[in-house]
Amino acid sequence: MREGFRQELKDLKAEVHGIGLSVTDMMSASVKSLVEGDVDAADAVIASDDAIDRRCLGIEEHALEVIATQSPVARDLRLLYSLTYMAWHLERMADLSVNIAKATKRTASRRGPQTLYDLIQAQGNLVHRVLDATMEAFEKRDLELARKLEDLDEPIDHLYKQFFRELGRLQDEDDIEWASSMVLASRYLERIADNAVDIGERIAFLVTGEMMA
Amino acid sequence: MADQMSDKSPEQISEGTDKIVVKDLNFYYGDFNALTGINVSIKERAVTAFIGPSGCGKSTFIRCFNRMNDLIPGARVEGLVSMDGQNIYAPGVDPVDLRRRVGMIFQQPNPFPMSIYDNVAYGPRLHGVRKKSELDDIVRTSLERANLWKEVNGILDRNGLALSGGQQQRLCIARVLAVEPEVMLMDEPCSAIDPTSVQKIEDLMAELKDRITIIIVTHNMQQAARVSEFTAFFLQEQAGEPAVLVEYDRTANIFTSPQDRRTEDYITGRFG
Amino acid sequence: MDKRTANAIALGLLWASAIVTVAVLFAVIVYVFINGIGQLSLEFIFTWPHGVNAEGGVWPTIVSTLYVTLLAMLIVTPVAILAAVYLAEYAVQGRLVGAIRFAADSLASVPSIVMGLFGLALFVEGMGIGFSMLSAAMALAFLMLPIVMRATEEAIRSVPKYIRWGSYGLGATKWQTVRRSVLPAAMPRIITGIILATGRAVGETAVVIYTMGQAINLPLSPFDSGRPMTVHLYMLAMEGINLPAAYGTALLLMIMILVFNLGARYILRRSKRRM
Repeated sequence: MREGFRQELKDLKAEVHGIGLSVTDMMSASVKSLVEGDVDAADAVIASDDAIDRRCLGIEEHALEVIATQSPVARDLRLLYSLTYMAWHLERMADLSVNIAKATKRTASRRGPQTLYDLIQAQGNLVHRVLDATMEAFEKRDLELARKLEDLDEPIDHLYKQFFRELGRLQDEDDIEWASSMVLASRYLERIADNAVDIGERIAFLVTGEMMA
Repeated sequence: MADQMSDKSPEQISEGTDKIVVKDLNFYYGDFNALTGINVSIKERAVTAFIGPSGCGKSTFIRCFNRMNDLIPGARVEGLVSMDGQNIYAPGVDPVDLRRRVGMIFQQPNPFPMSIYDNVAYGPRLHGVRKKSELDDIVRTSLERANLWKEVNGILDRNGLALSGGQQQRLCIARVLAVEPEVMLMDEPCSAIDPTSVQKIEDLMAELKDRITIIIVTHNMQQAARVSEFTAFFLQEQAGEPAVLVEYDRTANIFTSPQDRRTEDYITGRFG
Repeated sequence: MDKRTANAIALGLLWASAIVTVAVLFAVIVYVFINGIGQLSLEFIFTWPHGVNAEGGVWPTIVSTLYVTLLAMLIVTPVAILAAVYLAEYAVQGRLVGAIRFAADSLASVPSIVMGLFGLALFVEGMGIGFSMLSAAMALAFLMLPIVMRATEEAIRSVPKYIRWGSYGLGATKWQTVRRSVLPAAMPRIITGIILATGRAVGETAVVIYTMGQAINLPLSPFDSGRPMTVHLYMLAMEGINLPAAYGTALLLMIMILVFNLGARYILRRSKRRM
């Protein structure tokens, strides 16, 4: 019944999932560029943002059309609403990755203490884990996993705080611009994970129909 | 009014191929000018919906495509209606031939009071198919395409009127499919049947549009939104005045951001 | 007189009228039945009259009646249906059609004895066919024509416009539409009209007495003469030669007409259920 409508929902869902994977890659690439001081890689990340923006906009437009023409209700409506919400968050996450890549371009000319690079890389790995879990929870409509995202997010916040402590130990000669860029990058990663946690709440709503606080 | 008119003129829909093109159409019942200045191009192998309040001339308009209005004394068409580039009101065109190419489904399911088989075989027989095996094939294929075969296989000799309303309507669709039309006009095909059957007919339209150009008149805006790719909104603004085509666009555009204020007021339920 | 009393009186009158109607019909049937049932036997039905045609059975008259009725039906049906199709579907509705319809209604009210005299003048003598099944059938056809025609016309008009549209929509011409969908849809009511007209013909006396003759004869060809049941009944009764046989014949006649009418009702009801 309503084959066309069902197919459209499926396509939209697959597209959002695809965007999620791309954004995950983007985030990882931006962290890698930062750690390695690779400006070309950073440029590639920045360049890929346009496509993500377009795809997210496409999701919104398409979802709007489907809502307007197909009068979806119940879980179909929840899905379309959640997809739009997710597209918005994914776009934000891509923008934050771009910000990290921009930090690469500001910091690449010089090397700071290895501990901080290690910390950023560790944080990036944790965020990657959160994003993977988010997309898996979305794909499998896994309520348990979606609810666990908050826990997964916690160490990322800790790392961000630890990053501050490490900065406090820096010597005077360390470039203040370099340091603030690194702090911001850590902050961006923490924000990306927060967005993922928000998406997790939306996945829970998708499955249960209840808005979580 | 002119400044309110959509700047997106109907011909500007660029996607798809035009099956039927209407230019400057005026329609009269005797002295009464029912429709005026209609310009529209119907896309091939797509579903186009005509919506608008009662009495806005959408049913009158749809009947211009198979010249059903010829049967009404005093009815008169001015302007151009062409199908595949040929003017269907040209002197040499036989409306009887035209109606085989442009099938029609009516609001009231109207099977003939004869067997299911004879209902479907009616058209092919009119056009000279006599061989039993050939008719058998046509009847079966048509019923299959109308998603009715499974329900009536084995009771083909039963009277068509013994079926339920929704089945009768699908029988009528099978009857039209049996003459292999290029265009199918549907004049409020779902307003006299139950919701489950409506769903079946909407599904059927989605399947048929791969091969047939479908034009549907409907009072039900949600239905127009669900089933069609293109939507035309008709409106008669004053009683006694001719109705006009207010807006014609992709259905998704009409239902997300119509260009004309009157379309928006109508589809949001502010009048009509 | 208050409203309630008026109501009661009106109700009483309505009841009384209804009862009188039913009672009259019932009385006639019972009277004929009681007087005729004694006569009814297979022998009465299937043997020839003898003596001065007053004794014995009524077989040739039954055959004559059925023969002439069937023949009249065959003559009247195509003419009446074609005329009705023309009136209902083709003729431009206006004064001419109104005039034709008025003529048909007038034809229906012509006294049957006048129709008999007309048949005698035109068919029996004018065309030289003589007293025969054919002359009688044609005269009866005149009598039946307006009934069948008007019934057919009404039947055609009552076919929903959607049925016609469905046919036109499939690329049918007007004639194809009339022949393949309108007439089949109207057929039950047309048949009902024919049967009712036939019932009228079976019971007709005045027309046939002037066109068929009175000879006891088993008709084979349409040019044979014969004596229908009604005429036989008339003879038996008027000349007082055998009243019991007259009642027997009358009973048979009534049964035949009853069967025709029940048949018409059955066809109509069955088709209504299908519609």
